[in-house]
Amino acid sequence: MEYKNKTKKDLVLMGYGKVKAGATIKTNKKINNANFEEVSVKKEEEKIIKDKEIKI
Amino acid sequence: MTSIVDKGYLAVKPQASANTPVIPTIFLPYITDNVITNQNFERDMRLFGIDWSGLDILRGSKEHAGDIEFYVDPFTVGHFLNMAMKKGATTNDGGSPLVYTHPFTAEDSDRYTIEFSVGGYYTRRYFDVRVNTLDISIDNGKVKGTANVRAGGEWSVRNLKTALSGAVTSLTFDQSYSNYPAKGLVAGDTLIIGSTEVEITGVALDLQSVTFGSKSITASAGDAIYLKCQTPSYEDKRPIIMFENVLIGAGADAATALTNATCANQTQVNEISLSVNNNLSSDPLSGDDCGPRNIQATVKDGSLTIRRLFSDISQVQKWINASKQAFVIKMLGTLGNSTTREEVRITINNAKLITNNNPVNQGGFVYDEQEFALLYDEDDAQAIKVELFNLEDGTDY
Repeated sequence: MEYKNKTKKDLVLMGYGKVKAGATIKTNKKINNANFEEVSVKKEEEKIIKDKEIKI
Repeated sequence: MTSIVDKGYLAVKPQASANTPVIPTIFLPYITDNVITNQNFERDMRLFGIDWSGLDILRGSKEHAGDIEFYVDPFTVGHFLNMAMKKGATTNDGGSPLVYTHPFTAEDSDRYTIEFSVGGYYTRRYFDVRVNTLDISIDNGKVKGTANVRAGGEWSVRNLKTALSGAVTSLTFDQSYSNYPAKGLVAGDTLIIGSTEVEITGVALDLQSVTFGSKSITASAGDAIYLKCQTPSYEDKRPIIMFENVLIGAGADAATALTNATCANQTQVNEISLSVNNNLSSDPLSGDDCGPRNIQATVKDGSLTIRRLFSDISQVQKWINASKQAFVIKMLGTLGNSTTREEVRITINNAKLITNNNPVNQGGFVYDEQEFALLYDEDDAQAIKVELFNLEDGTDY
């Protein structure tokens, strides 16, 4: 699982260390913290496709 | 299974309005708390033809209150001030990084949702929280705050109303504790039932049930359901404000006191404590059995106690004459940028001595031990003002 710090602030996530604003971390545990959102694989794939379309 | 107290945490967040709990996302380091829900149980003393005092207990009005102790740092104290006083418009010094100034005055504060993790096992959530009294004192060289808070409701543990089996997308709570058992929950919360976790996607309007993505659950009516603890996250910790970095300016009025709040002109004290009391009303309200709904400040008051070395009879004279004195207490943190420090600045506009004692301590110095009443000042049109200078842009308040 991958989680993104969706705030505009760098946060120390206990047990995981410092996570910069907008950065992601990978973990095999569920993170229950509303400052972080799970990044779904599908969402990432969609973003990559969209980025490619923009470049074309 | 045992749980360690230190795995707990305090999380807070201002609500947009009353009666609208939120998931707290701002984690504050704190020392201890004794915030509890008191259901005011008493023995059922009705007559049942037996000679023993009661068959059962009866619930009274619910109250949610207690103290939270914390060390004062420029980040943590901001949220307690915002729970205790009304925040005005934030400004900044134009420096790099910006140091922001947040003014707080003695009016109704924001309401907060706060959560305590109990040993990392389950969560006690309180909503519609306001500070009743805010005390500032000195604890072994550190500036310490004690906030007595009151809340409008709580959510921690409830019971399942009807058994669940197989794939389900909702569950209903029983009404053992409240007629509105889902009140306090919001979409995004994670509940634990047995060993199964569900993330709430919706809370029913009638506050009896919640919905979630399809999950296979086997559970019986009456099984406990509780709120899962969060994985805490903290912003950079700010240094605790130390007593040695407190500058006190005194004068006949607040403007003079501010001028005197410098190293050269300060009034040095050995001990100081300040108490601001909102005297919150928490009357119960019909039609809502979650707790008191009218949590708002009534007549506010405050007191200041000081212990300082006796130097002359000026304070005795001020006590004899009931003279007005003003104070500016600058609690200085570290530099936020090259010119501006983080700071908690308390302006006391009109303080008068209730007592001014010179107790006999054989073998020691003579001290002025003073208790001031904080009064409304007609010229300044206020009794107290707190300005917080920190690196927060104020959007979290």
